[in-house]
Amino acid sequence: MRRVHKRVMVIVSPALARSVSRSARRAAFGLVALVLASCAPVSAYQRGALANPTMAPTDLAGPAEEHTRAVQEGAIGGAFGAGGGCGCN
Amino acid sequence: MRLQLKAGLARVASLFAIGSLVLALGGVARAQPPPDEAPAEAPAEVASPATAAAGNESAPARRYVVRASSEVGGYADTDHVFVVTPTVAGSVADPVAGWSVDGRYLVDVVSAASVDIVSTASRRWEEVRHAGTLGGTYKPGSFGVSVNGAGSFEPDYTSLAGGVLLTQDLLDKQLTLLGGYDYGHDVAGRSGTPFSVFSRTIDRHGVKAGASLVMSRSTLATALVDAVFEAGDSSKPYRYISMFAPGTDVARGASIDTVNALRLAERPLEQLPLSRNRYALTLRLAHRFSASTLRLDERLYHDTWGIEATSTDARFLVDVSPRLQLGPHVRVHAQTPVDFWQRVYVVGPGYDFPALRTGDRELGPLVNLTAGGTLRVGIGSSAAPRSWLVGFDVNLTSTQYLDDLYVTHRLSVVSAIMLEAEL
Repeated sequence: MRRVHKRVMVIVSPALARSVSRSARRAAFGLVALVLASCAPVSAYQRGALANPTMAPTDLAGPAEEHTRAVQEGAIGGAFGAGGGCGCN
Repeated sequence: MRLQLKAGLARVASLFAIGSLVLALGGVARAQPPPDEAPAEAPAEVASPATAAAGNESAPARRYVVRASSEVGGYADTDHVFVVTPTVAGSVADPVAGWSVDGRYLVDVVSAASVDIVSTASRRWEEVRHAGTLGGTYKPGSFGVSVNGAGSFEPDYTSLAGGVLLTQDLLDKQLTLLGGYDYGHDVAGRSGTPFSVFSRTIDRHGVKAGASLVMSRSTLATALVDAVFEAGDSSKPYRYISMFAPGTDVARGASIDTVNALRLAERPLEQLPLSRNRYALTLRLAHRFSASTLRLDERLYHDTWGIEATSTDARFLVDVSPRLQLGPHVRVHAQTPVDFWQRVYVVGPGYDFPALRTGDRELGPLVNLTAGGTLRVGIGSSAAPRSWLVGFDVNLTSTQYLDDLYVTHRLSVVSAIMLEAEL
């Protein structure tokens, strides 16, 4: 495991990290622009597929998965009511 | 290490952007109806929310949609933490009038003998948490308002939260804008000690804004920005931090015995900063194929403690038959550590402890890889096979802790069995 970790550290240099970060920001801006520009009119009668429950705009994770995620990832935001009095994790 | 992880995060974000681009282009291309397609022939495609939710577009629509569900979730990991979570939930909706109310109640039964507990010579720890949510939505037209409340209660931790969410449909429901505010108030104490003797409060203000865009008849894109401003001391009153003399080298993943042999006798409690601002951008793309749905989520996160993270989530839900749905799921989460993260905290001159210190490995650098899936079986009548659903979810997560004492890897499994009915 230590060998794998070392290899990851060697492969990615700080300069490359900055460069990739800039590219990611550009890609994100490009994506937003594309999304806004590609808004095609869809009539009400054409929205049957969009009404499928699997197309819900909200997260589909169930309560157990959601709670596990809130505990295992230090980057959850707005997860009110997560609790966590213990020091077990 | 921070920069190396950032590069990984950026790479994942770029991949997601490229994937989204391809899907968006495909969706836009399909959005244009063939010239010979007449609207008069199309109403058969339209499904009311009630019938669509039941997974049967031929069933007659009823005024009230009453749903109830029950779920039993289980969690286990290689760090000897076990959780059982039974949940009940219900909702009533009137799609015509545009209102709905829903509620959920769950109990977490936790049993833990993790390395953090064992390293402080404590016994197996057990606790029960009760949590519930209540919500309501009223959207008679293009404008909607939702309110929600949540509470979570443990012997040593209470959390109460509430919020409001406003939505506005625009451009003939092609675009939906949303904005919301949440407030949360937590009280943290110590088990066996009344809150009046020892307690800390944590207040959270959360704001969010977003938009959901119908890109084509089968593609929906959602973007959400959220910010949470926390104030209070969220340091765990049970978490003791090992301290070392200057120059001590402790290997990643060092055992309890090794750490005990190398550390100093003093072990101060964890101390975290007293405020934290979190910012996140979530992008979600859902595309419906003829009998399947592909969902791609990307969440980019930054907070003032120094964590930067990416969470990429993909689900492919396949309607194998009118009664059977399968949904493979993968998720990758990677994060940099908080600014004050150290595997080896060193005592300064004059026995000064570092002002900020933590042993919470979820605040350290880590990578989570999750793979799993869902299974839904419709057991309703032939007219509405999915009005009663039996479901099974399982997700296996491999966590690599990149700079921690005691643990370098954890394998965990979370599973759930659920029953859902439209009454």
